[in-house]
Amino acid sequence: MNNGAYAMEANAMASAQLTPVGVSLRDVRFDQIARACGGVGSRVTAENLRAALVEAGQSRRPVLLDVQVAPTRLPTATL
Amino acid sequence: MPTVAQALADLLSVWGVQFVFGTAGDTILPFLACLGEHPLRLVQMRNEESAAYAASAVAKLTGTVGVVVSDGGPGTGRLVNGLADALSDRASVLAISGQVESMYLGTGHKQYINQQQLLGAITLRSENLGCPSSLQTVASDLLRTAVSQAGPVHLSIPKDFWQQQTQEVTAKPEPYLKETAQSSVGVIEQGAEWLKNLQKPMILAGRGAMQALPEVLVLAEKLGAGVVYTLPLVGAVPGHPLVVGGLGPGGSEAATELLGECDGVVKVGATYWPTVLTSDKKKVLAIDSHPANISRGIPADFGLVGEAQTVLAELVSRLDTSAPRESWSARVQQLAAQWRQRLQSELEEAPLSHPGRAIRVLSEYADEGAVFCLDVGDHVLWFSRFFQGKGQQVLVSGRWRGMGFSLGSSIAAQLVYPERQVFCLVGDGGFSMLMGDFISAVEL
Repeated sequence: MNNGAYAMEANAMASAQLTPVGVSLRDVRFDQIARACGGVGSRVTAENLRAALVEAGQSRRPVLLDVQVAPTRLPTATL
Repeated sequence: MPTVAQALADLLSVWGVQFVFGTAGDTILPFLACLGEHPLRLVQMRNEESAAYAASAVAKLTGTVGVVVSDGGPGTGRLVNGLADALSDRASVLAISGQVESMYLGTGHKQYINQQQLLGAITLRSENLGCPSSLQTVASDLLRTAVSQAGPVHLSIPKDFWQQQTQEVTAKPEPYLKETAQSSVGVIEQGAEWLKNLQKPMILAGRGAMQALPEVLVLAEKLGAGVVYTLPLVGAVPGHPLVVGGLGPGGSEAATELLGECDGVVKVGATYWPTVLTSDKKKVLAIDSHPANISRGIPADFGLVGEAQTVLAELVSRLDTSAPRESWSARVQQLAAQWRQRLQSELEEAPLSHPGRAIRVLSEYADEGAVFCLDVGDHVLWFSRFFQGKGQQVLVSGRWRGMGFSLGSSIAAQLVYPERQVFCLVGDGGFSMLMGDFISAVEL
């Protein structure tokens, strides 16, 4: 699940009014890395995740699904 | 006579080991060559850290000894997180590492470090083989420790010993090594009596209750108690009106509320107790196969030692159901139902990018026997909050909480259960740490 951050840490910092430094992660095409390693890879969202899972279930090779999600903050996030 | 390398491989086979996870290095080459001609399977990993996590996962999944092999020096250094995970979660692991030639021990030789000091804090025992002829004695003793005390042990072997001769393997694992303490029937009767003190009971079930979930639900029904569980049971606990949800930051807020309102807790095989809940003193009866865990997390007023399934069966048969605590039970069921409804509405209103929506898709797709290897980070909290289990098995780095755990452990899970679906659920942060081992998965 790719949210482009150490979201637990970023959300903890936000909850304590700390400037979120050192907690964002660049956008990496993990799906392409998976393919380069000899596996299967695709970038998906919750909308097409089910179809991707069904397809993955038929693969004989490891499948990497890079599920794009938001770094949504849980109500319980604390420092 | 066999070489040290052959005898060690034979000994591992005798102890039921099937897989040796590891990364090549020049102090272990004769052992790797030996594995090429042996029933044991060497699983080549790209990083010793993932290899050690995989060994820990084998132990957690099967109860047999997980084995990792590493080079000396930096290879041994990279074992640290996996062994710490095994120590924290009481997983029986043997780490085997190469060491500089015996004549260089204690010198400033390239890649020499005192490995016993290096790994001392994260193993039950760490020994350096002092002489080829003592291989069977030392290795067997370490294996006994790993199994009987449930944790990681380490054996370093100087590079020049591997091809020297040693005795044939004759030692077998003793059948009683895993025997655990068990509270007597009299004590369990007292425990049943003690439970009468509780007017508003809750049950907290953890990893130690994995094999005892039907008994946990019977106990809940007899007591009119709500059931809350820790992370390893997410996915495994069946739906039931008294099941309130997971405990902790990703868990059910109804669980936190009810644990706040209750007057006592039956803690079954669980060690986690969030600090937010410790301010208000609760009466606690704890059941655990490991006596030291009874008062771990939250101090217990009454302890029952033994496997959860056995103790709960005895306990439940002695419980009186004449006082079903109807109003409390109704309160539990009301809050549990409200919580489920709230989660549903939360998802219906959430944007497509909300992590809970992806988790729900996974819930719907996953087979009943699937294994979920979770990493560390917010995805775990979303999993705990939104995953609706059908008896799946969840594997976590429970107390060490090491990022990167999920990839190595999912490789182990797929090897142990080749016919099952295995999901590695990991964030972009955790995956980046050890993603070289995606190649190891491709090569399986």
